[in-house]
Amino acid sequence: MSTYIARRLLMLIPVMLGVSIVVFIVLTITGDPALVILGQHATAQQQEALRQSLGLNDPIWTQYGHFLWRALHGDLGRSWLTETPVAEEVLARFPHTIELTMVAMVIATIIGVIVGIISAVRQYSWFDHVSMVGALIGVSTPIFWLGLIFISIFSMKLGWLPVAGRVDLTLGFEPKSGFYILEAIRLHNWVALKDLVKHIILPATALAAYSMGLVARMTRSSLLETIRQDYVRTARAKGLGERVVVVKHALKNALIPVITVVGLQFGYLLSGAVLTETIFGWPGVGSLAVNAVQNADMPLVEGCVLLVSLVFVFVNLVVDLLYAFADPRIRYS
Amino acid sequence: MRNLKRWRLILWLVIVTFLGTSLVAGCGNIGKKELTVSMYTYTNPRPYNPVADQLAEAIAADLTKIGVKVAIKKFPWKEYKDAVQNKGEGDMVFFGWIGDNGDPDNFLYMLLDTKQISGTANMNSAHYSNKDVDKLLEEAQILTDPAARLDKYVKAQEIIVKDAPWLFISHTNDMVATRADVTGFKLHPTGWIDLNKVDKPAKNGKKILVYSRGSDAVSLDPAIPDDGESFKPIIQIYDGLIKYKPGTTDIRPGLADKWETSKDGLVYTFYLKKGVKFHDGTPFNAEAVKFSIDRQLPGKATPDMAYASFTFGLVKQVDVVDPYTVKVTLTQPYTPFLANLAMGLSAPIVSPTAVKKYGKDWGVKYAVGTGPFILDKWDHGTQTIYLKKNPTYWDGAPLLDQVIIKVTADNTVRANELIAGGVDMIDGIAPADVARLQGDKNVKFLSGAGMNVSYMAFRTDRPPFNNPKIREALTHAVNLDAIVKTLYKGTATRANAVMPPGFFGYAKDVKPYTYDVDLAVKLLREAGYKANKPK
Repeated sequence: MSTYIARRLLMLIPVMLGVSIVVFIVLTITGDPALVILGQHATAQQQEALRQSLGLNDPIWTQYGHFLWRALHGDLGRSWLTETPVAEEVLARFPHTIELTMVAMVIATIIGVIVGIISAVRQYSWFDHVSMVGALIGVSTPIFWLGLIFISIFSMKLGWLPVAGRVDLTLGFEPKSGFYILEAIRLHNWVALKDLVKHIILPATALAAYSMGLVARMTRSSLLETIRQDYVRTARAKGLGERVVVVKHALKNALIPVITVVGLQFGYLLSGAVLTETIFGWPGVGSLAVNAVQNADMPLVEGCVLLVSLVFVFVNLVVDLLYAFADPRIRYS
Repeated sequence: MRNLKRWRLILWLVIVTFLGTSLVAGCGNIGKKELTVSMYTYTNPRPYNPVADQLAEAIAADLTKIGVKVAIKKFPWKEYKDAVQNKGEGDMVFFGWIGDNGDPDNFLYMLLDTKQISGTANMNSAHYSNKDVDKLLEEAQILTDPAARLDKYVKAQEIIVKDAPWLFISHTNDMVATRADVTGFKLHPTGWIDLNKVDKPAKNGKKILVYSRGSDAVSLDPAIPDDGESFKPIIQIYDGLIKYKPGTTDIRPGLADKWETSKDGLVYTFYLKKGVKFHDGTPFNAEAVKFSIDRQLPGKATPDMAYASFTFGLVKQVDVVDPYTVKVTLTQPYTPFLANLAMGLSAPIVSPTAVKKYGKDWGVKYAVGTGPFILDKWDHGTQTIYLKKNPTYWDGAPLLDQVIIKVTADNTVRANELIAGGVDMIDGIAPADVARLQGDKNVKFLSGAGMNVSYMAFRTDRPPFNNPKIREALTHAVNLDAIVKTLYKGTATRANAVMPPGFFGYAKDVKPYTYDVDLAVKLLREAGYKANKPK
């Protein structure tokens, strides 16, 4: 097991190298950074001096070498616009995205699995039909549209939930990190927590809709297949109650493909956060990346992409390891 | 059989008519080439053009109708400026201008004088050069009599409109919306968001105003930025020597109680207000004024100081006469200098101690002025600026305890936030949201003539638009009345020339370009290009 993990971790290196090369090339071919940094007042000499000092006149592979060396030391350069360190800026935003993604994932998994189980057990019942149509709608609706519909119903018409933002700024809630919900719990600030939950419900649900539908359909079909297997019939023949048969015997096997889907959904949710964060004014990596692209702030774009891909790769590894727990037949060596 | 014959006859008739009309229509086109031009546009909404690239598309559609081949290229704002201003690309380019000090010099000299072609910021995007116009504009800078100046500015605009370096598009109305319980806010022609006299009911014992806009500030050092989003917090934190009167661009004393101008117009002596302190406790005095101006003087200004040369380019030296008297000497007489000192950017006085103390963090994490609000924190992570009131403000302490300036990137989401009560005040209102905001009883909607102009510049220094006839032809081919009406839904006024109506320098007798396709086709053919009347 540990050698497997070690091997997988080693394999991360070529993957991240690939990502970094792609990102770096995109960065270098997109305009002249000297112009972006100095603005339009700069003289040609000033631009040349800056190019020289940034090493932009070196061959691209030398530049990549320097970039890689600095990146390995945690230095992703400075934002061209605000001149703050990229790593600092991206890491400050990341907790917001993680919290949103996690809440979305929890919503998608819990509701998806429960709906899937009920649909499978009561196949062709009205619940099955309604929920599978609902899942289909969830899978096929674009996030931004769903987000806007949510806002217009729950915020504008009913006035139950806030339109956008992370927290009511007038509350004076001053957390130490970007994990606002965790911080509110840690500080026992229940007023802030209530407000935070109100702010996260709509974006998280909009973000979760696709995954929720997918998980529900996956759970249903997987469970239906498992229920028809011989060992389940044996379990029933032993006289076990239907609940025990489904939950204890069938579900465990049925969930293996679901875990894969859920794991892969994490990547989808991270990328979906870009749209969701823009619509809901969420201060995460997604809106940071959108902003950075709009401002042609390439080091910042690069930082966002590198971080998200790193997390994506890690999550895939964790998912693979989880198989072994869900299914003892799977062994890694 | 007979039926078939009849159809054949009809078919022939159709073909002959078609060929005949095309021949007649194409007569003027024999031996002529098509006019192929590139049109560059930005894709981000701008204050003077909230519909971004839709404007370019509408104008291109009208040009295509008379047979001009238009290739539209779209960029995000930053890349757009790089391509157009630095690389000089594009035959037709879209820009706009938000005035700074209400003076026509700030529009006309800034955007159309020959000196601005390769000047500090390549502001003359048409690369327009007319010696008569230059002369009028430069004379008006020295005259002190308003009537004589007005005359020069109107004459200059008459020439410019005839030369057609631009398609003069529109002036956008300034629009700000607040919750109904926010009181004391008035629009200023310069777009100055004056929060000093603004009030709202207290919640939990505190009066906190949340202001939402489209993007974050670039810098809070008044010497650096040139964008409206930096301007909004900066004017809360700092004061200038001179301020605007409410509702007009007339000036009144600010940190200077009074001032004198020497007979030759070269020396300005300012008598400063006594007993004013910066937010860091250090005293405001003549040294601080000298420091704030000196760091922006030619030779000392860093390249990122966007307005330095505009505001202080003509300053020869600044002398401290005594702790509360400053003498500013200009290299040449320049009447708009006083109006420049009232500007929200570049002109404000900064705390010299704070600038030296904070170094690289100055303007990024720290900002210290004498203004009505004190910078509490700029949270770059969430793009939020927290201001708290300056209880000892010299012009009367603000009524609000705290102002939070935050970012909601999407216009419609921001309008929704205001309607739902999540924020107290917004700007950057999309035309599509105006009716909704006006109709909501919880919202106060304010709108007034804006100090701005939106235009499409022709590159007048190279083919094809170095030929004035082609420029003139195209100005008649665009139905601007319809475009402005459809795209902006009453939130903008069609422009006749450069200066917006209601401002000093407005050329009220200049007629806007007429929409006259026949004339456009005629002129374009005379210039040697193919042109077709639209069907």
